[in-house]
Amino acid sequence: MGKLMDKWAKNQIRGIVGREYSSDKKEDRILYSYDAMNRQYLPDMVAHPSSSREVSRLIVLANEAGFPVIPRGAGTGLTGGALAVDGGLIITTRRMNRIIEIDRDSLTAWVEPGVFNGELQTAAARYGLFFPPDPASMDYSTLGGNAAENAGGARAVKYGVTRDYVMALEVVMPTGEIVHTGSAAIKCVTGYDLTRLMVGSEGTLGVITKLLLRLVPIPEAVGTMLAAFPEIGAAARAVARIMSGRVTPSTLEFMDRTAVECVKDYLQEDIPSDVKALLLLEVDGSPSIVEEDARVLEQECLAAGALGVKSAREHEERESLWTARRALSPAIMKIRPLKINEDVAVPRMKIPDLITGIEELASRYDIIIVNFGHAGDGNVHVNLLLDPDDKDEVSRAQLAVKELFQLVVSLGGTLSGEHGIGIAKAPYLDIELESSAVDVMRKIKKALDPNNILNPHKTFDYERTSVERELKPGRG
Amino acid sequence: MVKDRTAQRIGAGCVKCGRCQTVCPIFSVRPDESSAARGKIALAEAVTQGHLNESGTYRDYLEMCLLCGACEENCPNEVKTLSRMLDARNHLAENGGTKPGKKLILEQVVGGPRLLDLVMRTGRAFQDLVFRKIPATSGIRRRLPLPLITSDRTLPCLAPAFFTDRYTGQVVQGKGPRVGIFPGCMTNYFFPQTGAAMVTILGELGASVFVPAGQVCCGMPALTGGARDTVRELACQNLEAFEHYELDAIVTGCASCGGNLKENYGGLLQEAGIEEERIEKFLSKIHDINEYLFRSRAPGPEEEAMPVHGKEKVDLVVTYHHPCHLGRLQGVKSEPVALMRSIPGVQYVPMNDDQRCCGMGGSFSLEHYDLAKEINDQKVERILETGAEAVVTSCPACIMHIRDGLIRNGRGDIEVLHITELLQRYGHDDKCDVVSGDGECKTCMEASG
Repeated sequence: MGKLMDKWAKNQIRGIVGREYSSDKKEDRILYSYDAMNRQYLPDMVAHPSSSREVSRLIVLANEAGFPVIPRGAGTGLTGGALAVDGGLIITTRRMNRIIEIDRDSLTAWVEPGVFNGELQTAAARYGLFFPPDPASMDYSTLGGNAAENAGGARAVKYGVTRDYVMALEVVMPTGEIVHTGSAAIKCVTGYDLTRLMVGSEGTLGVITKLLLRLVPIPEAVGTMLAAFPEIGAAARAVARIMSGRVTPSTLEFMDRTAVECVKDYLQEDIPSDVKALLLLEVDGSPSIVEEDARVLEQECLAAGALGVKSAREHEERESLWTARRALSPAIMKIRPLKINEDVAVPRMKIPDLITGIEELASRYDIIIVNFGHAGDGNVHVNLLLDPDDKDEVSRAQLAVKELFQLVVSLGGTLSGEHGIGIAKAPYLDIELESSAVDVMRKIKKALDPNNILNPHKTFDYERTSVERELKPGRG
Repeated sequence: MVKDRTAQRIGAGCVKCGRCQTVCPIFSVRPDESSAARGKIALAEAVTQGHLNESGTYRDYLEMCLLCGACEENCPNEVKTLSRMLDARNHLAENGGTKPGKKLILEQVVGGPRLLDLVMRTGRAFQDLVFRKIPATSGIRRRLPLPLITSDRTLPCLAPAFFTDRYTGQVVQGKGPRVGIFPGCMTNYFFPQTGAAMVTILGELGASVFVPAGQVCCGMPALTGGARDTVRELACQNLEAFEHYELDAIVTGCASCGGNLKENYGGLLQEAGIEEERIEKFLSKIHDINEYLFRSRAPGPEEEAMPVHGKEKVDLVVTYHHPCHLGRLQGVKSEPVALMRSIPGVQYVPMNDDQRCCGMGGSFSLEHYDLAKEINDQKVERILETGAEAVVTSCPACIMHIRDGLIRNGRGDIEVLHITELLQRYGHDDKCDVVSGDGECKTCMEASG
């Protein structure tokens, strides 16, 4: 692998998608050299195909000429899934961006992969429907990318993740065949579940070119609450109490003090200094159920030691809380120019143990660690904040990350709840997975992609030192 | 050394999250990485880190920006994208990356006020030859092939008499504050009626109104084109021209000029070696006309105590477009709305996305008219949704572009007015005698008992 793309191959690519929709100019290669992991690898060329047929022809060509193909949605992934680690051809889904059909009666939508999640939300809302997966990047990430990464979001605690809403797919396989998986029928056990194999495969097993998505009626009412806690453990206890209770919130977000400070401007709330953690909760349903459920959750928070609970019913106020939460991930960069963001997940009852363990790691390694995320489903975003010029801090953080993963796995958790493995976590895969499980995955990859064309070095086989194409990261 | 500093500033804070793409008007019609701030910052970084030369493609991508500031406003990391873009363009210009023709225009014409005036006068003399007037609308379309101007674009005619031809020096003698007008080039050459409206309204407030001689272009086109040296000279000339009149306030009706004067002149004058005290004194006097009129109102409920009083009955539905360089850059958003609402008989209907750029972006629309047009069409759609009979805004460039968009969409019947024109037309009548300061109108007070 890693063979340079020759002139013949480039001309073939131009022939397939058109000169206008392909480029090997240095400028365009730089423009498609990054994603939201904020590391850069130069591809050899960028192409914007308009159909599954064009994608198929590009992949057939890649097998013939031996260059890697990296599918890319909007480049908003956090683990480097869209990076051309070994060069090759970036293919974007930007021209496959139509909402083909929304079916009000069967609650489904056929979409192309380049449609932004937020676009579908807007379109579905006209029919009184919504698409539950809501990654923080929903306004600027694509549905194809959401499916390839199996994106989660805040609503996952009640509604589940992307995987639970993908019914059928059209996929171009790593050898170029166009395959249709799944069914429009809700129940379908015919053959292997290729849909679920594809969802979350990070573009290593196929390029998604069409999706049949399940939609849900928009609940009549939503209630939002903000609960303040004097210590992180009390908030974690509240989460445990709530999740073992009878009311399932539609959202249960957690922020520690450092996280709260980062977005204070957004929150427009005067938060007292004895508040060390916040829970952001939502309940949805009919207005009377929302009122009742909100009261139950409020009592649970107070019983767990909350200092106070604020309820927001006004649409605007609720939205401003959400703007802050969605902006949180990038906003914490203000404390230190570099962050390592690990979206670990543990069984939700283990959250108190996880938080305690992280605090211990933070003090032992002398690293600022900001924790926030989707506490309701055990998915905590652990952010280690670093100054990249402080070499000692960087190496301490690397040790802390490894220990974090060991801690998470010892609690029965997983390396990634929703960001994926990509290149960011590939080196740690064996902490969680036994070698026999990794072997099965490798066999699947090998069987479907014998020439290792599609998105190489993702999920497995990423060693940073072996990579030569990296541009200097554009750090702050 | 300087280069290193630029390198750091250009990259600082951008984590490539991609959020800027959700609000970028260009990205909305051209969803490529080169369109929004994230991509442009990546390219500028690559240049400063030595991975990329400042090529023609690089220049084209940098120029494909409206400088509307929506990305900066929405950046969770508060990356200063606007100054990043200006820095990158300036760096490009310093290294000879500006297109030769553009460089000539920026330095010689914009930077040489007499030549600019001559060009405009010559243009006025020949515009009938080169352009044809569009029937029933106030605009012109090109008759002969011209670089940068497409044949389906409607441009305003150069005014038969420029604003400064009719108004120079002291133009109104009043008992109130001494107020100087900075019309800006577009108002001067294309929309003198806006300037005239300002003179009238300020006069009615009791101000002594001046149009200082010796003032020149604010330099915004040159600044966005990367010709910072040129702008520095213009800034000094303007400082001197206005200082001469010992004014209490300097007002402009041009969002871009106002934004430039407020945001960039401090740094420019400092670079030119002007003393801090002089700079501060000058900057503290600069107001957008909306701001100035709003502040001059009598105390009391916002919408009932404006400096303008309507007596003549009008019945007009209007909507308002927030110019990027007024709303976002200067934070002047509520003032124009309050002013419009103060006019009896004027019904203000807000449009969706009223703070979204109209697509003009100065020279952007010359070089990328196709994109500017598409962005403009979105704006026209929002306007039509309101059912307004007139669109009000506060920037001559927006007026020009939105008018073009409406005409192109067959809705030339919808007027596009500068807020001062609206105020002048409907905000008072001849009998109305507003006195500055207490804001009372004797006639109206008497009439209302």
